[in-house]
Amino acid sequence: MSGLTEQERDEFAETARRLLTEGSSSERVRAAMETPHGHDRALWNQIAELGWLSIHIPEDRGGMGGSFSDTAIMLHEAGRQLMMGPLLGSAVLASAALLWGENESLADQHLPAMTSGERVLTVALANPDGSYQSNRLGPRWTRRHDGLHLSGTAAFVLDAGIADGFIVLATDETGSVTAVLIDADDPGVRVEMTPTMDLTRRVGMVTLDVVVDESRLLVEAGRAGDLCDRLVALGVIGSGLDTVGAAEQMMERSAAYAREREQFGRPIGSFQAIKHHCANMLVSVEASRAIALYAAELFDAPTPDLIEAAGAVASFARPACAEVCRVAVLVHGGIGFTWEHDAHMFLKRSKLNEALFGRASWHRRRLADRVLAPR
Amino acid sequence: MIEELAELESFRQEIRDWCGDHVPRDWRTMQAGADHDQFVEFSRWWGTQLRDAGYFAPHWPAEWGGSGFSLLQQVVLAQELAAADAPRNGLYQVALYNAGPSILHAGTDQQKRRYLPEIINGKVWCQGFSEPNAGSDLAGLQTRAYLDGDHYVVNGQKVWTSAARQADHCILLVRTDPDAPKHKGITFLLMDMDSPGVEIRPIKQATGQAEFCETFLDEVRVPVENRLGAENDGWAVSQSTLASERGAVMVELVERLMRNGMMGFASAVRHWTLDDGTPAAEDSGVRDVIGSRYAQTIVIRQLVNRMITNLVRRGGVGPEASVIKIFYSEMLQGMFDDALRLQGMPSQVARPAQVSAGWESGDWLYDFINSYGWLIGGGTNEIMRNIIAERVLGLPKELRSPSQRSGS
Repeated sequence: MSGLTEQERDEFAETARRLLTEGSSSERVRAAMETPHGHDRALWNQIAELGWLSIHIPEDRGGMGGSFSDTAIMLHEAGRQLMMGPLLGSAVLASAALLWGENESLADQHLPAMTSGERVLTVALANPDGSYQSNRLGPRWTRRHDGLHLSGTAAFVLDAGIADGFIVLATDETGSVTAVLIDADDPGVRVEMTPTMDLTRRVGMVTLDVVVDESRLLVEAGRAGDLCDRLVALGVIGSGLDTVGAAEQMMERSAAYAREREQFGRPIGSFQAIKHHCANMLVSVEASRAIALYAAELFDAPTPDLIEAAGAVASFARPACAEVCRVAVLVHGGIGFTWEHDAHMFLKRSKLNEALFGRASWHRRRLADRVLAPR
Repeated sequence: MIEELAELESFRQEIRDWCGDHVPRDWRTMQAGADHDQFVEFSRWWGTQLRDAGYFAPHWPAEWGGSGFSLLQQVVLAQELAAADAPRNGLYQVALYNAGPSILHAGTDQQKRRYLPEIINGKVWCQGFSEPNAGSDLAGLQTRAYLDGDHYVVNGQKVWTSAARQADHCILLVRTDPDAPKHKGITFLLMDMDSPGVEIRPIKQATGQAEFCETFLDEVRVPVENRLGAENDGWAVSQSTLASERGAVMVELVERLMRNGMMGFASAVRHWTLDDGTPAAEDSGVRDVIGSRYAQTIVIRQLVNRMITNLVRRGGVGPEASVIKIFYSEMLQGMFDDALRLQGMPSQVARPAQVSAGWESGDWLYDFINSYGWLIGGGTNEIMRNIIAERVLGLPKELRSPSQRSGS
């Protein structure tokens, strides 16, 4: 169920596009790419003031009272402009974790500062080998006499360098999952940034040797498996929406270039080889947008279809959109291979998105388990 | 599915109950290896069942004998027919989805009164559009018609005329002005198939079946009153026909793709063994293939859902119909190809062909070959891509041959 009406959503998309076309222009993104943490705080504060960091957060928690489908619009527009900053990690994933958790006081404590843009929280769960499966997460947990002990490393943590805190998901030896909130300045937390080719996204490794008390638990210890699955699904869908936006932008720019660029005395867009590249882009973008928006809607009334829809985004939409960005470089030819042209930035973003929250092959096999299960 | 569908639950239950009572459980077995006459007899029987229930022409207005269903009601009907694995209403496709809508759209009152009730009562139509030299370049068609008093006299040859052997009438495109630009010299005629000079020859397809025919037209006289729309305006009339080929029908096709296609594929895989003795369903490579195809079925469902939603809420569609055609057809063929690769030699054994089984008969090799119908028919995917590039993305038209005329 959408918080906004159909018309309001169209208007919101239009407003967001207008604001980000300027606020996250190629120049501003390139400037932010040169900064250590890749974060344009001026833009972040502007968006926070408009309430766009809290679209799906209920009004009684200081949010806009919208839905995930409304947040999806924001993610899609952010992808179109390669917006930098912790939108996915903090405003979407960490806030969802607090909302879905059962620890009211933790949510009350952190959500207001997150929605106002002052505080950045992110989610830490990936295994350094690039897997996100809940029974073999990077961080480990054990119960000790003095509290819960968290150890090990969560890798590829979005926006780790600017995070004030981490929602850490950890596994024990039986595979059961615990979710705790760790402050960046808790003793025993070490953050090390991981350089990425995609300079519009920043990730880091969070290494833990921390003891916390039960007040930091989002749900009862060992019972966070479902929360973990939902966060992975949301991460896939969020990065999927971002990548749909990026692919859409590349499709539009490729078509525009093909209309203008002339070789052999005519626009290259009149050649069927280029036409078919562009048409394939449109097919991929339309199909990916349809599944990504549908998947986002499911968060508002979660059903078992949610995991399947996320699987479809991971299996189909993210690779298809990365392919759009790959082919966009081809349509542009030599200029597309230069640093000066934006195409490489979209390509790198789409390739990072493709792997974030799990390889396509893992998601495909999980889908297969559902279809192949004896019935 | 979109929220508005929730209001149609009792309607859905009605159809589900009807399907439970009327869809023969064993129709697939009965139709396996059926010959032409048995196919026609079965199709007519099923058409009668649908007619008696009021489900024969769901998209037609009630005043012309249709069900007058809203688009969403049509969606529900399509979903339930697919869920019940009902036979497809294939024999009447051209009559219901091409001829009828064209007549409704462009016909005179007299034409509507003559032809529409006949269609509801079971007259079969075929489509005489393509020619041996006018496939992708349909507007280059060369079948000629000249006026002789109050008749057009038609000479030429049509091809891929589906159901021509059973058809009572034919929607026919002919060239009436060879000197005009090619799109401007075409006229749309409604031709009786028993007119003198009409000769049909079945075309045996790559599948071994003969659903289509060649139609030879030699001095065939068609009364002027059977012209649909204005003379030389037939191309515009035919475009509305092509658009109506794809619509709510896609809901049914996609549901069948999900159920008989994808789920059928998955249950077949559970019985297959790989070369090293591993059950296929346990192999990670196989699971990758299955998961990937399943993801695509979820995607195409949502593409169709989005098209329907846009039609209902915004009253129009963007490029979805072309996107769906390309996506659906390529996924259909790809999935059957996957099945062939995974099953290995057992997939090569010929079985009695299942006629009227739609695109997913469960005989993977037959279905694979048959799936070309979707890749080539209704505008080849290559042409669809040109159309998307030019009309949606605004790319310039390709250089065409100097003659944009049809005469030669």
